[in-house]
Amino acid sequence: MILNLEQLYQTHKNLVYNLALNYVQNSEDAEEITQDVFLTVHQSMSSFKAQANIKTWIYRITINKSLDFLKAKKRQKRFSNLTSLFFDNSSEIKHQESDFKHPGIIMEEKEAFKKLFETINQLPDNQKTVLILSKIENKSQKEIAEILNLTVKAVESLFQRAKKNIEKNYPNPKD
Amino acid sequence: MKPYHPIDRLSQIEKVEAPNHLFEKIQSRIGSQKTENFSIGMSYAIAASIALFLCLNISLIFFKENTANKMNLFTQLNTNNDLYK
Repeated sequence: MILNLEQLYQTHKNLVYNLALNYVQNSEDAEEITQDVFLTVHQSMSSFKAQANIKTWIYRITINKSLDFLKAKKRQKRFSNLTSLFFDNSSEIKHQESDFKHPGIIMEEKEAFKKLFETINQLPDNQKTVLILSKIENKSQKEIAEILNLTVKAVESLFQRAKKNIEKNYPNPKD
Repeated sequence: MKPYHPIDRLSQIEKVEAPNHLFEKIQSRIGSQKTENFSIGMSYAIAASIALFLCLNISLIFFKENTANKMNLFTQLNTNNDLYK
């Protein structure tokens, strides 16, 4: 099977960009992840097995790249917090705190979504992924199971745990 | 009626278009990777040749010193007639 990067990009760019956006909630970061995903696609195109589903493969790469990006950002944040104890770089930390810029969310809803995503971002990676794929990407449990290489039962269990954790940690609007 | 859950709100998130300039950036990153990066085999070959070069240099210095000492001794023995006295 001959894969053409430009063709793959044109077909899947919105899928990758929107999925990355749901992980990082920031357009600049989602752009960076999208670039990383297609670079990996370009590097691994020769090893791609024809019998596998391209869409599933691209979903997997995007999920892994987004989670890696978040881990790297967390490490960077920890490091900058540590250095701020010795050097005055408070402006940098302020910039990191106001990172919520999701273009798919209307302005009036921004605050409510920011709180919701703060709770979602505290979930373990697998629960967060199941929640994003099922509630934002509207994937069926069977499709999620295929993407994550899990059983449908495991996906259902992760979804229920994610739901419970959000119920427990989501701030009550009356507070 | 189904009770409201905070995650039900997530379905309101709209899909957006990926920016147009991204593909050019990806292409330029692929281009820079091709020019900047060595392959693993090439890196090993360069490391091996540097190691070989260093080994040859060290052995040459050692050999040179040894030879110089031997030559000194040889000339000493040949020019010195203490043994025949």
